[in-house]
Order: sequence, then structure tokens, then C-alpha cells
Amino acid sequence: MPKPLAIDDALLAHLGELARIRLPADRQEELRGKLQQLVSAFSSLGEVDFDVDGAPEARTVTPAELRADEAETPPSVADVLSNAPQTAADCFVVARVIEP
Amino acid sequence: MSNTPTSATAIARAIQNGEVRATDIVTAQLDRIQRVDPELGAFCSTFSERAQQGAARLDERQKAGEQLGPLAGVTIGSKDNLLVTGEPASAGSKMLATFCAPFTATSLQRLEQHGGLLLGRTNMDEFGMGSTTETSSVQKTRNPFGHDLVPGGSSGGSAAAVAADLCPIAVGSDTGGSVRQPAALCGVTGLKPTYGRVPRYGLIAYASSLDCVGALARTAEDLALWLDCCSGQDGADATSLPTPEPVAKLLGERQDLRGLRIGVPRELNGEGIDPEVLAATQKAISQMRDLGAEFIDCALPSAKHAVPAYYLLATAEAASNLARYDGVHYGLRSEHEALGQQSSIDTTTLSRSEGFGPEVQLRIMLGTFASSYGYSAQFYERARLARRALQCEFQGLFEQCDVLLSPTSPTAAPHFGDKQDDPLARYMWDALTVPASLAGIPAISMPCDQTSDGRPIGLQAMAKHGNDGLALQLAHVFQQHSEHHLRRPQL
Amino acid sequence: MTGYTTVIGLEVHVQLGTASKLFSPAPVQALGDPNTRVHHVDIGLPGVLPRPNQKVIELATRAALALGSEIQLYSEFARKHYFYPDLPKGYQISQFDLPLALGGEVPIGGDRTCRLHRLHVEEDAGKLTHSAIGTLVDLNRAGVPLAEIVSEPDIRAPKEAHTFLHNLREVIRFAGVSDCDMELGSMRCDANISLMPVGSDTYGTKVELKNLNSLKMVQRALEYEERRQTAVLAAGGKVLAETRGWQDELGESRAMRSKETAPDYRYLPDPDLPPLVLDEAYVAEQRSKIGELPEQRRDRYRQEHGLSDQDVVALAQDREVGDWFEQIVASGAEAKAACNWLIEELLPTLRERKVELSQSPISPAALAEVLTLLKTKTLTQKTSRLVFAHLLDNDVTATQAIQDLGLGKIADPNELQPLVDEAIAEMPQAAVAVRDGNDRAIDALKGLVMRKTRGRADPELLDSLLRTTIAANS
Repeated sequence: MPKPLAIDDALLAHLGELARIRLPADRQEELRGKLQQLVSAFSSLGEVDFDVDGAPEARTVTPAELRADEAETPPSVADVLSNAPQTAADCFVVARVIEP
Repeated sequence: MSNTPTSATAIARAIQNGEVRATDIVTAQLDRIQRVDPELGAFCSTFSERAQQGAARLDERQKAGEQLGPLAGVTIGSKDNLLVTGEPASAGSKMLATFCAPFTATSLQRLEQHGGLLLGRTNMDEFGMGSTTETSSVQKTRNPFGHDLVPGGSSGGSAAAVAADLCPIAVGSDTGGSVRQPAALCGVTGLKPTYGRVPRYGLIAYASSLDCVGALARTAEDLALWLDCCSGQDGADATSLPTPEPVAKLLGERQDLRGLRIGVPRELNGEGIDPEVLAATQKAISQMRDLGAEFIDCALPSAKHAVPAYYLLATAEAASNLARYDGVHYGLRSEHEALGQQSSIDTTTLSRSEGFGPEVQLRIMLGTFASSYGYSAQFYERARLARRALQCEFQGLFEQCDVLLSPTSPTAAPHFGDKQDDPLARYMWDALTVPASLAGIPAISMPCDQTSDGRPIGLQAMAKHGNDGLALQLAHVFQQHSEHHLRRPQL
Repeated sequence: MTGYTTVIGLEVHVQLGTASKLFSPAPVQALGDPNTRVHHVDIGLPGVLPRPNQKVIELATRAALALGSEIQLYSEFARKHYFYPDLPKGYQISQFDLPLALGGEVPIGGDRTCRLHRLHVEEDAGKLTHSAIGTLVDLNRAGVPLAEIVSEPDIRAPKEAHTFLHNLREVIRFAGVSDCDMELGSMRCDANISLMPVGSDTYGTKVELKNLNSLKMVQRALEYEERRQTAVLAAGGKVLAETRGWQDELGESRAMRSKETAPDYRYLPDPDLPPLVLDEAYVAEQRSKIGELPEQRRDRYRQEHGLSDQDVVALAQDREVGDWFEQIVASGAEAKAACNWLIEELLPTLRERKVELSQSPISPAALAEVLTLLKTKTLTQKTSRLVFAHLLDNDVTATQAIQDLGLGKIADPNELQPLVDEAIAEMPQAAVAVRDGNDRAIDALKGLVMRKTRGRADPELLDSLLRTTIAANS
């Protein structure tokens, strides 16, 4: 049974949580309006009867075509950390994570 | 620059023969950029040192009598979402404003290996999401054919650069039309190759199953040269196809279009398209008929689902690809005063809320929605089915036709701010280009006319999977018998 | 016991023994300075793409076959999305509805087995260390290849969970897929436990246990959880669906986060990775590379060599130990003797010296020689041990060792007779006792001659010479 297509506060909050995006109230409303317009328009796909056999569209790969297991010298620590916002003791640093 | 050749093919020949020096070309191009670009905003920054050093090395090798590559001395703009070692690559986003690339994209490395000189990074819609380049957080890019007109997007900078002769070739990316559409709006030629033909390693991802590295130039001939220099399997890209045969030589094999069966799908040649654009298409068809092509009226019924399918699949993949921008290992990290003792969860939320523009945020939310539990069956999975249906229909059409034709864009270049509050209307601008993206087939846009107020109009030719050569061949023949592609803006 | 049945399911992550990571060519090594084993792909930089490692598929296939699972010839990689600082891309590349293998089983003691639900391949995350200035992120481990093995909830007791892990580890090691060392982190385990009312067929509320760092700890933690949940239910309360971290020093579990709503991982087939297709020939090749499994080896040793259960278990625990045993036997020694000496003498000695079996100073052939000399009585139990010890530090044959140590058996009557005479002279009463019919008294005389010869006297010859001499002197 298809779920209702109203982008309500709860759904918006849930999506924001999943996407880690939180906007001030006015921007939030603007986003909701646009999202609602798009979702409503695109839900028409749900009513179409696509007569396809569902065969995989992409090509496939066999193990022989995959990379051989040979280790290569990795980039230096300086290179690895070169774009890090904050570093210490050769590590990336983030604000303390509260939950383990 | 009056005696300097302007096509890539001619430049490379002149360099090899010693008629022109690479360092002179680079200097001239950088000068032109300095004079012309402040008005246009095509380039975000130039790679002047890299280009000049590359040019100097080429000149040395030329003096030593070495065989230089087919792109020798050709200056090339590259979109701001392609990585070049030591240079910024921001994908038009605040999120990556200070990012410095530690490696060079495979497709660009190959161009340099063939003698190409990377000139600078060109402006784009943020993370490729847009059709006007207006969502760039870096600067504004204007269409060289009209101060208040958008250059198209998302490769607007690349299109404007080529149109204004700032470089003969500019590399871009095409996910739903982002090379073809700006090419059409700026009066240049733009190619989206077969998906997987040009490796994506080093291209900042938007939608992985749709992103194609593409290019813009004045002529199909230059694009064929570009394609041959960067096509082929890459061990770093698991979706890259086995190295194909080169196509440049094919271009000389056709003088006309006799024996070519060209399909004109109804759904891509009628509804929703500006009358002037339709008229221009008809004129081009008539010219092609005169050149011997056979025209077949045909149908692509699933085309009406192409925009919804594209926007659901692309945004779902985009939401996934952009999840890496969390402010931890690179990219913008919020300095909001609310941070301090807070956990990294809040750092991520604040960084993403600040670093992404509104269009990107909208598409991430849409993509998150489409792939979330409880909705993915109805949206993401249906979109996959629609895509599959479209692919099957294209396959069927290519059994009767060699090439399919349509306008590239329903309109010529709109003005800045046009329909900016109506995302659905904007997304419909992509209705003619997204079908080829969903099917992974090659498609080229070539200039074919202009509107009564001088705005360029582009014609799109699509060929079956792997048949990039035929699409280029058709465009080449058309360009041998027309001059639209040579039209330059007044700057 | 309490009116409840304990229901346990296990989720095991096994690090696959490859040289490079799953999706990047960065080296995989147990230890290293932070961020020294990180490729651009592992950082999830803009523009990077994953490059799957073919050896990972080989080892995962072998692991699945060794566990009796069914290899799925068509499988897909999928992205599992969540935000965490040790997950650079904001998603983990794993497998979702089309994993590499389904089914399989692991024996858990008695006649019981625990069925397996599935085995799939996925990449590991980085490591977080908490410090005063914040959380430090080391990406060395990010991208390391893992096989995730999920059991069905067939386990009914904490002890069975221990057995499961022991047997799983044995099979995986035997297949040469991983060293499965929980202390080094190449094997990790999370456990799910719930209590189901006896007679019901609805599972109780599941609690997930984490931070289990050894097999014994898994058992301890499950035993504690069993008691805790029983107490909660007995008091009329409800067990909360949550994740609890085991605190071993405190001997208790602590709530970590509530699992009231399962997270939405928004699984997507990874568009950067084409689906994987295997064929029967490939599967057969991987099967042949596993060779004989512990169970089969135990059966074979039982049948071919007539060894006891205890013996076959000891020999089959490690592929190398069993291979060694077979080489000793192939060099001519008897199975039982070979088994005893290998398990009770050689292995403990090597362990003491911190030497690996593969670096043993004594070869299987040399040990076989000692055993043959023992069998032919050229050596006695005592002298064979001396020779063994000598061979550990000297690169000579056993025969040479006997010479060097002056341990040859005295089997020449002419050599032994004088000592027999000496002994009788020193213990006349014993000789008298023997003559008078007290046969046991001969042991004292034997002991004396043995001491004089440092154990080298041939026991049968000694016996016959003593008796003859005593009889002759009466």
C-alpha cells in the first residue's frame, strides 16, 4: 500500500536527520514547498505499468577482471592529511564523539 | 591572434611543424582571458604556471625534433569538478572552496600525455546540479551571446570559454545534459560520450551511473581528437569500458549523409519546445535530407517518464555521493559558535547546512526521500524500471535507425533568474537530454541556427551504445556544409 | 530452568588475509603508525572510485565453501549509509540483498549445529581514539576486507556460542582465509541474545552485545546477559531492545544506545561497482584450494591410523600440525608414537622456546628416525628423550647423536657381563632372593646395572644375563 505523499514536519525532520541538513525555519518552508511539488509530480511513476523483464541493465564483472592483490606504497601522511580541517598526532581531529 | 589557428587540430599541426610556439599560444590565451573573462566569468582560476611549464617543455621537445602528441600545444579548460594536482577543485561549492587536489583526473592526465595544456578551471553549477551555472558559489558566468543570458549548465564556464575563444577545447561533465545543453546555448559543439568510455577517476561525483566526462569545442573534428586522446579502460574505474577503436579517422570517410537512417522521435520533437527551436530543427532536417539522409518518424513512449526517472535516480545517487562531505577529513568544517563541546554529529550537520547551496540541499533531500525506507519502492525502484524501459526502447529504435535527432534544449538561453522558484519547470528544460543519459548512449549537440534575437540553437544527434564515431561523423558532415558552428559572439 | 529458552545469534567479522585492501591498493598490516596505510580511495576524497581486489573474492568464497554455504553466482555490492567520523564516504560498501553466499552451518557440541544465514564481503572502517582535544581518526583500517558471517538464532546456551566461535575459527584458519585472532582484531564478534518463554514461538526482545574481545569473554558476557534478562523478566519488567557494551573489568554490560527504531541505511546497489558473476569452474577451483577440512581430517585419522578421539582432535586442530604428523608417519614411524611425540614433546618444547613449527630445528624425518630407533629398542624411553633434546640444538642425525652422547645400547653380552657380575657382587642378598624364588628381587639388580650403564643396558639381554649368572653361581 503506497504511503501518503504529504511532506509533513515529521517527514521533513526525518529526512533532515538522515541527510544531516538543518535549515532555519523560512528556508525550511521554501524547501518543503519545492520538495512537495517534485514528489507529487514524480509519484506518477508509481502508476505506470512498465513492461520490462527487470534484467540487469549494467554490465557484470568476473573475478579475473578485478585488481590483482598487490600492495602499493600509499601516499605520505602529509598528503593524506593535506586537506584536513584539523589534525593532531598524524590523525584527523573532530570534536569529541559523545557516543562510543 | 588573427593568423593563429583556432582549431585544436590545426594548432597541434602548427606546433609540430614549428610554425607556432606553445609558449606563445599559452601567453596569448592567458592574455585573452585577462581581457575578456572578467566580463564573462568563464574561468574560476587559471593554471598559468602549469600551462607555461608544459608549453616550455613542448617547445624544447619540438626543437629537439621529437614527435609531439596529437594535442600538442592545445590549451584546454577543465571544469571545476575535475581534479588537477596542486590546484583547487571546488565543484562550484563552498564545501570545497579550500580543497587542493592531490592527484590529477585520469581523463586529464591522458590529455597532458598527448601534449594538451590545461589552462584553468571553468565555472559550473554546484556539484553539477543545475542547467544555468547560477548555483555556482564561486562567481557568475554569462553567455557570450548576451550579457543577461545564462550560459546553460552545469558546464556553463566551459561553454562560455569555447564560445569566446578562450580555449579551443574545454572539458566538462554531462550527467543529464550538462555538456550538451550549455553547448547549445552558447553556440558551440558538445559531446557526451558513451557512459564508461572516458574514465571517471578524478571527476567529483554527482550521479555515478550517469556522470560522463565530456567536452566542448567549436567543431566535431576537435571533439573526435579529444575523444581519442582520453578514451579507454582505466584500472582505477571499475565502470570504464574496454578501450575502443579511435574515431578521428572515421570523420574523413563520409562526404555526405547518403545511406544514413535518421530517426526523429515524436516525443522529443514536439511538445514543450519553443516554436523557433522546432523551426530550426526542421531546417536542419531539411539540410540533412539534401545531403542524402533518410528520415524515419518514430516513437519513444518512455521519454515522458525520463525527467522523473532521471531526477529520482540522479538525486538518490547524489545524496549518496555527497554523504562524504561531513567536515571531518576534508572540506568545509563549520566554525559556528554553537560548536565547542558538541559531538561530531553536530559538526557534520552544521557543516553541511552551511557548505551546500539551496539547490544541492533540495536535491539531497529529494534523493534521500527517494531512497529511504518506505518510499524507495515507490520512487527509486520505479525509476530504475522506467530507465530500463527507456533503454529497451532505444535498443529497438537503433535497429531501424542509425542516429536519432532532436533539439538539444526546448528553448534558447533563458535569462538569469528565469523560473528560479519553479524547480519542476527548470527540470523540464532537461527533457530532451536526459533520455540519452539514462540509456548511457553517446549524444552530441551542434549549433544549427539562432533565434530572431540572436540566441544560439543546438541540434542533438544520438547514436547507439559505443557508436560515438557515427554521431561525430554526422556532426562533422553537417559542419562541412554549414557555418553555424563558426559564428562568434561580439565581445 | 527459568521458564525461558535462551536464544542466541552471532555476527562475526573475519578479516581476510590479503596483501592490499578491498577497494584500494594500500597495504594491509596489523600494526602501523597512524594514517601510513591510506590510499586516496580510503579517504573518500572527491573524485575517487573503488577498485575491487580479486583475492578478497577468492578468500571469501573459500570461507563460505568451508562453512558449507551456497555460493551465489550473481552478487552485488551495496552502499550502507550512515554518518560517523570513521566512515569517510558517509557510507560503507557492503552487500545487501544479493550477498556472496547463503546458508552453511557450524557444529556447536553434542550433535547440534548452528545454521548460518549468510556470508558477505564488506570494507572495514577506520579507528577512533578519544583524547583531550577531541576524537582522533586513523584511517589505516578503513577499507580492510572483511567477511561478515551471520548465524541463525539456533544457539541455546552461552557455552554453545563459545563452541561456535571455536569451530568457526578452526575452519576459517584451516581454509587459509584468515588467522581469526580476536586479540589482534582479525576476528570480531557481536552477539544477540533474547529470552523466549518456554512453549512460545515468538522470540523475546533482542539485546545486542558489543565489545567482546575473546571467546571466553563472549561466553561470560552472554552468561551475564542471560542472568540480567531473567532478573528483569522475573521482576515483571520488560527487556529493552538496545545495544549494550560489555565491560569486562566490571563483569557487566552497559546500555550504549537504544534500538527502538532501526536506523534507515538506505541501501543502494553501488553504481561504481558492476555486479559480480562467478561460474562453477571458479567455485570448484576455490574448493580445491581449501583442501581437507578439520572434520574430514579427523575422520581420516580415526580410520587410517586408528587414533583416539582425543588424539585426532589434537592433530587436526591446525593444518600444519596435521601435515607434520603425516610426514613423520610417511618417514616410517608408527602413528600413535608420532602423535604422542609431536603433541606432548615437540610442540610444548617449541612453544617454550617461542619457535614456530615451521622453524622447528628437528624435521619430521629426524623425529621419525628417533621413533624408529625407539621401536627397535636401540633407544629406550629415557635415552630417546636425551637424543631428542640433543637434536634440538645440534644439526645431526639421530644415529650421530647416539654416538655423540655415548648412548648406544649395550647389547653385547661381553660388554654387559662384567657389570652384571659387579652388581651381583654389590647386592648378594638380592641374588640369593632370586635364587630362592623371589622373582621381584631381580628388579633391584636390574636397576643397579641400569644406573651403571646410564640406562643403556638392553633390558632383555640384561634380564637373561642376570638370570643365567645367578643360576650359574648357585
